[in-house]
Amino acid sequence: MLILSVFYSTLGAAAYGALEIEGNNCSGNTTALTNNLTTNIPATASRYRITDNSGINPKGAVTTPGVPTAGTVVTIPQDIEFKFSQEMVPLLLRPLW
Amino acid sequence: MNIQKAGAVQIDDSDFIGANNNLLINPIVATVVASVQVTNTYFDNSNGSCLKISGAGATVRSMFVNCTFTTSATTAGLSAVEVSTTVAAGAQGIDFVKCNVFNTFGTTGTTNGFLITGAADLLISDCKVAGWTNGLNLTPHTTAAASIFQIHGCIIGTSGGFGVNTVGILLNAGSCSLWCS
Repeated sequence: MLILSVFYSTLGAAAYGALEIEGNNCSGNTTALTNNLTTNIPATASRYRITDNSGINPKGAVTTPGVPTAGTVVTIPQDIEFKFSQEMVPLLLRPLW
Repeated sequence: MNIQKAGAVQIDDSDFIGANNNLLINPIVATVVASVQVTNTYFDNSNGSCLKISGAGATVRSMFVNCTFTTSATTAGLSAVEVSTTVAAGAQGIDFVKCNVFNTFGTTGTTNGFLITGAADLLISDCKVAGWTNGLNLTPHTTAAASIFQIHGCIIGTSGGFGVNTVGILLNAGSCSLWCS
């Protein structure tokens, strides 16, 4: 019985064939994702993706970006847009050859 | 309902309540259950794994669309969906689409929305999973590289009036030895 138990335990660590966890909302859970994979899988592996899931930071050591506040909003002045358009006119009207 | 050998089964617009396993798919060795198509069906208040796909035979190409899975508060430590097939290839082509998997009745102990240990290719898409110890408890099948899991577009956390999971997704030990280089 003990032998069977050890045997099963060994087999239980078989390789994943592929893993795609994408576009889920996992926020708010005590732990969004517990990753116990025993091998460090590179993000470039074609059939392994944990991407674009809210609540899961695929780069665990990287700080989650904060939500921008009103003070950080950048407004482009309208005169810049006007001058740019004027300068573009000759180029736009130039015949193609 | 206990399905042990089948070529095509359709279950639509039904309600299964209060069994140990509201749906048990349990083929014995060298037998096959193929193409169980379930739509718009409640699987409620089970006293074991609400849906259990198990056995030493093969379960293949089966879909659950617009279904609900819950477990009873009478017994602790239950799972709403269990896939624990032991056939070498694993359960193949098992899909869950737009299903609600909530711990509606507050089953205590270590509970799972999905407890997957014996699946090959498995799709969970656009489902809501809330209130469990582990929303998704995933272990690769014993055959190397057999397990191909796709989890897309789900809410795994507060939804449908139920609270968060302790762990949203639990990826149990495995490796990528066949396809990492």
